Amino acid sequence: MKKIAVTSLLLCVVFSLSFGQVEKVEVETLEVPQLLQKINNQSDTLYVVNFWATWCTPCVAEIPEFNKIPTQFNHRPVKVILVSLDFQGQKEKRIIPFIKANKISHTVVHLITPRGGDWINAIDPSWSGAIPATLLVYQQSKRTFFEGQLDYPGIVSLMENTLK
Amino acid sequence: MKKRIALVALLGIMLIPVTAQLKVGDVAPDFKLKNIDGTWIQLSDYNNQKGVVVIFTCNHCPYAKMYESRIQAIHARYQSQKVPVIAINSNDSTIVEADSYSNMIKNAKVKGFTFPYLLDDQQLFQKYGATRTPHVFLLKKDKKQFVVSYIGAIDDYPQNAKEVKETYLTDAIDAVLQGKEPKVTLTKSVGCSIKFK
Repeated sequence: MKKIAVTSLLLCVVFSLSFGQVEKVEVETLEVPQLLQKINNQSDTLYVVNFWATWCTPCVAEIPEFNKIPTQFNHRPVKVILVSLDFQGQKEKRIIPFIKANKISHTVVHLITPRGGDWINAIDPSWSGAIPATLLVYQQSKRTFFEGQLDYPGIVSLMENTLK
Repeated sequence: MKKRIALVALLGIMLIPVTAQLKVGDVAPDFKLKNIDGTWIQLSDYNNQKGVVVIFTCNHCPYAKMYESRIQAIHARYQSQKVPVIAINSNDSTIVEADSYSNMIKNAKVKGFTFPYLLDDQQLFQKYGATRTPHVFLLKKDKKQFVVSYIGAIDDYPQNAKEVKETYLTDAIDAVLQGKEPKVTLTKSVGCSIKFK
């Protein structure tokens, strides 16, 4: 009898622990050079990097469109990175609740916005700094950049153009 | 072939937004826009000034809000030196209700703006090439025209006025007042996109 009780208790603990892990949302805080390092490589992965913030209305409106992006496109793996420009100290208060509420499946990172505007040019020289904005990178040299709100067909066009 | 045309057309439509893009050295387009006090303001009203600080801004954007007191301080400091500020809100209030004309009046009152705060319902922002809020165009009077002498950010640190290191805009205004070219004429900064249909 005791054995059953102990086993059931252990099972309950294991279950609740595993559920806890499924619910846990990880958001890495990154500096710009670290972000660039992640996306500039020769792997076969197409990177779709979206710059957004929880307080930016058109950014929030296009997030469901980014959620539609598949993990494979034209026989290549796709990695979507949603880069939040929310202010420091807002990860627990705004970003993580937002991810949970919107069931975001892709990687979200919290960017430490550097001083000045040189970093904006480092992402793309044509970027004015307005969000939302999306950068697509394939094998470092194939790059497409779009400033403005996108819908899923638009994202697909950009993905196709990047891989040409 | 049809699919290709459709894709190109789609991309083309998405890329329509800003057609013009003023560069430093260009003549600034004149405008006639409605101020929050009900009067009409033209750039040519400022012909007796040494320059004008045109700032595209709005009520709702967190970046615009972070700069409100700095913008007011710049106007207070430079108006008497004949380089006043003109703030312009180009956001379509049917997209963002918070940026409506009546909310501009309220916001200006609450924040104590003493500069004109104009409603741009003519897409003036496209003629200037303004893409975000806030976005600054420092104009200097050159004979009978206003010429762009600095474009971009107010300073290098939106988050905290006390931690600013580079005061791009005020440095540029000081240079213009001394008859010199600003050392830095173009900078970029994060901001909210301008809302239009």
